[in-house]
Amino acid sequence: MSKNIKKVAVIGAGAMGSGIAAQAANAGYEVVMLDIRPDGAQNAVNMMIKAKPGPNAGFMDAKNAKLITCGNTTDDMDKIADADLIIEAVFEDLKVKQDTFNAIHKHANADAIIASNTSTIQIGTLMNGMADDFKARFMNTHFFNPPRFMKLLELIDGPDTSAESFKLLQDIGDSGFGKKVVRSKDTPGFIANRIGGYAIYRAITEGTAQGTHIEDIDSIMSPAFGFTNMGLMKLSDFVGLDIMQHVGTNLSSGLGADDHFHSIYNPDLVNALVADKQLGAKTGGGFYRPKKNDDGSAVRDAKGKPIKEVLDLTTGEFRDAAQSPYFKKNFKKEAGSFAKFFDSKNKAAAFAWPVLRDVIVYAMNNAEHMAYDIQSVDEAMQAGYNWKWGPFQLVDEFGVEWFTNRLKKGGIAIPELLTKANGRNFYRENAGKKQVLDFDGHYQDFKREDGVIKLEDIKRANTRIIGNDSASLWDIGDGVVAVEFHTVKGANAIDPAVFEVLNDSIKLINNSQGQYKAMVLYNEGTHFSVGANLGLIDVFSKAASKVPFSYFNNKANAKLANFVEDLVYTGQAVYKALREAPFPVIGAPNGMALGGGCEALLHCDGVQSGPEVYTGLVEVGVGIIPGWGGCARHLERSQDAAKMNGPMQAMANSALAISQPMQAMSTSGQNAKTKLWFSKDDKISMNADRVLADAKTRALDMVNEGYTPPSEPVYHLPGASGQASLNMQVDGLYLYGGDPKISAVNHVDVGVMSCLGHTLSGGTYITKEEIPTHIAGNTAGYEALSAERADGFIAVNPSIPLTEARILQLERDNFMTLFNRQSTKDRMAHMVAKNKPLREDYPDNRPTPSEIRGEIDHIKATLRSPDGQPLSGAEEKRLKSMSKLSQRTMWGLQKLGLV
Amino acid sequence: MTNKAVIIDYARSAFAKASTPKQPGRLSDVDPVDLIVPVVNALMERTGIDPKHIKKILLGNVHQEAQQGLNIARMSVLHEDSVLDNNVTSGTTIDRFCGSSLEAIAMADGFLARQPDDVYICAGVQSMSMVPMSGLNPLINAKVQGGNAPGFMNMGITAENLATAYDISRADQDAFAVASNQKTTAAHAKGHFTNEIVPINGVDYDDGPRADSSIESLGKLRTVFKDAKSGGSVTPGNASQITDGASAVMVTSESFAAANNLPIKAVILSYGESSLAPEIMGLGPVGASKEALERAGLTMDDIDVVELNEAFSAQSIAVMKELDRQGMAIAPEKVNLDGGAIAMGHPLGASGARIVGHLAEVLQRENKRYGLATMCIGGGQGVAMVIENPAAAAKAPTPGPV
Repeated sequence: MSKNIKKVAVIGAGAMGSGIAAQAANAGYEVVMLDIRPDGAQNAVNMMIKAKPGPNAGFMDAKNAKLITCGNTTDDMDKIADADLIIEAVFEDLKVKQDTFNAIHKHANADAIIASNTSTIQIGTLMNGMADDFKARFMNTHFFNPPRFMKLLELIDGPDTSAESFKLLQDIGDSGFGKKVVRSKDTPGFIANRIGGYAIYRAITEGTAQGTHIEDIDSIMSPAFGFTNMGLMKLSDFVGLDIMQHVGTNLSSGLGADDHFHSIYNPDLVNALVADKQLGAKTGGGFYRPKKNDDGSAVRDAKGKPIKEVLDLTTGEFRDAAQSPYFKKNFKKEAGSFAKFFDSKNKAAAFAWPVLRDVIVYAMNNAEHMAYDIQSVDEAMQAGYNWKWGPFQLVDEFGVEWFTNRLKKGGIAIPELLTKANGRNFYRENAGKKQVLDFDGHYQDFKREDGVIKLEDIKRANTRIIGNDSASLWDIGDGVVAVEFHTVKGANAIDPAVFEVLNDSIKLINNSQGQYKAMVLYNEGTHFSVGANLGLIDVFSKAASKVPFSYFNNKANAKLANFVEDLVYTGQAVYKALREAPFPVIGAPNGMALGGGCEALLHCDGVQSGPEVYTGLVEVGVGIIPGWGGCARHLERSQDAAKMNGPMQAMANSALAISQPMQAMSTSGQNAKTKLWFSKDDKISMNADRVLADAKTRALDMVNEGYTPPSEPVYHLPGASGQASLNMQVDGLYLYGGDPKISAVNHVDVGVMSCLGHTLSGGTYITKEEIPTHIAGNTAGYEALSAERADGFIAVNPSIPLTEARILQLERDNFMTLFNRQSTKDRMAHMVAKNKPLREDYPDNRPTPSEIRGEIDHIKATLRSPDGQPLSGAEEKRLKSMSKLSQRTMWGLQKLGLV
Repeated sequence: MTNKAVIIDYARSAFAKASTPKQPGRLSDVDPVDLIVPVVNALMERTGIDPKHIKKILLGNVHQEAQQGLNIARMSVLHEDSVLDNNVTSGTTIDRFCGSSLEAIAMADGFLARQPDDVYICAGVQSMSMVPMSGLNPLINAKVQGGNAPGFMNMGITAENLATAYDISRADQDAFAVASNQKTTAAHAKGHFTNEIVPINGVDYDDGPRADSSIESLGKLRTVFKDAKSGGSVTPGNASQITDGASAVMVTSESFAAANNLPIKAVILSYGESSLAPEIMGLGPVGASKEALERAGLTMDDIDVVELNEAFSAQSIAVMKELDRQGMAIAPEKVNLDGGAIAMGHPLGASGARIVGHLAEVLQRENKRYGLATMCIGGGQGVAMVIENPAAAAKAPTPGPV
């Protein structure tokens, strides 16, 4: 980067301006935001702070709001004097914008970069009459709403924009704002809105012509063709019909008279809805709306669910929405191929074909007009509209040759690009490289931003070092390896096979004689890991319960318990070995890192997090507690954070975090640091695509600084009185907390919390056998004390230095105790089936808390202590056999279509 | 019948050294409530008194937080092992630092003046293993007078102050400590504590007394609060030990005892208090004793046995020197016949009830009439109590106090 950007000014505090300002603050820039209204900027900041997690929560962590200085454009323009980047996001009116530019020119630093976030006015028009030095520093930024979450930033340079300024903003957009920066040409709608707008209006026109139900449109224009789960129309409601209207008007007025858009553009429906203040989700209704009684209350069905209405494209009236017959249909899979589907008599095909055909043809005919290459068109649609495939990727999915022939058969003019493709797909792999056709019909290497490392590229060019069905080890260069989990369709659930690869990887690095010196845990795709593979446990559990005759049934259950206990121990041992390995391990998460996934990160030497990371220990939702060292690691963090606050504080911190997963889960990578999931030294990459490269750099930095593994913590915990204190709180929520479906704890939770408390308090007693491994330091005094006691028990209290092995043992004891409960099995089965936690109603005769605790059958897991080394000998053999069993089972489930 | 308060019985746990980083204490893992409940239960069993008469447990305890928080007096009644009746016996936890459980007895004395038909358990407990000296979160009001705050917080410095002011040598302090250890060891050997100690977790002995301590061995210890080169002389060897323990005294009125055929161990004659500069808090017993004696209508010469809480050797010696200076000299052979806190430890909340309870025992054993129990208190305070052995009084040739 040629210049160090420190301060960003945003003029205009509307939805876009405030969102951009928040994202600049998220990136760590000092921000000044000015609005035409005196309190406009401050109000916008306040609203974003108060917003619930979701699209309106502009800040990744509330504390980022402190980086924003607010003001108004009348009194405070001098505040932009030291800004390095100024983004204008005022009302879309040429006069207003030009006045703003003049004010900026007057107050801003002479080398500040200036950008307009306009989506309608071309640069030439905007810059008419502006000074040359201003023009050289000026360009358009097209952020998408909400700027924090939408990945695309279209960057448009004018004829006078200097290459240096453009490169600078490209870098800031990428590494600072964390966006996929796509350079677009200065044409109406740029790339994303041009194609996106075309697609929506094309679908409306076709739907109106065919009388297609909107529910059907959404079920057809869905993930089946790479669109979002919402479908095209519902997405329009979500984005806002006023925005869709604006996109349409802009394209209609800006595009040349011969543009195909005009022939498919009928804005009447959208205009009517907007005129009626039906703007979509933000006003409570658009194409869809809740059905209401005359008094404004929601109409509900027999089950109490609110009934939705939908606009009927034939009558123009609202009617009750119905389930589409195409809902969640996989057309390609059912027909065998997209070609076969389109060639069938299916009514969905009759709708999908003309729409998709025209979107693709339109993109092909206009690609060169709006973009610098084909890759940019597809990337803009992926990042800006969350399409899985851009138009060129979609036609590759269909088959270019088939598509060309089908156009010919239909008498459609063949786009020039299609002729140039000449039956070849637009993308191909060649000699381990991804390539894409250029506008002249020649394959060129697919471009990556400088410094970005994609596992996808590494996998294309290399074979994995080791691996199995669940995980692989990759060489990512410079002596750094990456472990990738790849189970259950991107959920990256953790099973014994994952531990096998981790265990083997540690050994491999240890024995590599310096060839490998650091490890990164990284999973490309949406999520890092959703945690332990509950589906697997659920299958085993159901299988065991179906075994007839009590003798065999008991045996089967014992075998299952054995498997689970060994799996818990194995996870602890492998994670501990990872932590204590003689090389640095960096966790590099994006998306969800839950339960066992969170525990993996808790054992890393450092975390290089993506911007949007949702992490936490969510085990209590399925009736268990963290068992792979999560309690031990979180307690360590809590203890460090609590320092002098007495013996209860660490336990209380951890109990709160683990017992209320929904509140404790992070809402971003930064927020994970605030909530102790990541340590204060952990770092955030604002661009998810840079996480792997940044993690690798950090790993190498650690190697170069002379890495030493962390030492084991010593715990001082409150024992029985800590448990009593936690139970007191839990009992209050159970007895007086109201509806367990909403917030209170129910009878199942009381048991779970009691086991959690037992773990986090350090347990109740230390037995004679436990002294050598569970008490740190010189244990002779404790041996003597125990010998003095008739029962040999020593009560846990804060003065006793407890080892990590103690906490891990308690994790196993209490995990197995909870696993043994029928309620836990029910919760797991529910989670596997419904993908959400089971919240049991209170039973008719609510048991007292002490009855619940009294009925818990406390299990003592085998006494053993992982030693921080990768598993070997019998333990390794057991891991390998568990891995084999789980891979075989998962393979079978996949064959049966059950996962 | 008068409403005089009387001591019916006394019991305590063994006093066990608190945990150090190297050595766990024998009672270090016993929650303070678990420590006091068996002592109170033993007292109830020995006296055979009906729980319906027990009005309140007044429980001395310092640093009332963590396991010692939330009014442990009442918790000791609610405890599942307690023989006391939840619907009869209330609980008040008292923090008067070292004087807490002696103050508890004084409070019962006051209550009984109006309500002679009640019975009070006056007790004390301290787990110095679980809640360390000064507590887990030592916070102090910012407006406590600047000069006093350091004296308020650091007891060792107050002892060094007295050593300097009264010119008490390290050797004198160590000699006092050796004597304390020898007396306690001897008392144990003679079984003088057997009656009072209630075994908990099998611990039925005080592990503090060092029979082999000598001026020579103590002389090797390093000073803790003040550098020896700068005149420091207080060491772990001549200071009271950090200890876990519990004690309890049963107190009622003379009339109730008579009506219920309860043998009286001692009659409480008077209570005295003093306040002085925090930096010399160790002299608290001087003013307090003077007041207690005046209120009892006695002089120091009338006193047969003294229990002077041994916070520090320097402090105890300074008290005797100052009493002497004020014309209230005590013969050293009357003081702490069975040793004191330097040997057996000073579990802050429990020490007051121990010295009063044990004083009653000693008066009985030695067949003596008047006893004085007194202790210094952090923050510049002192308390004292004069008790009388009724058996000795009956035999006495001269009439008792007015």
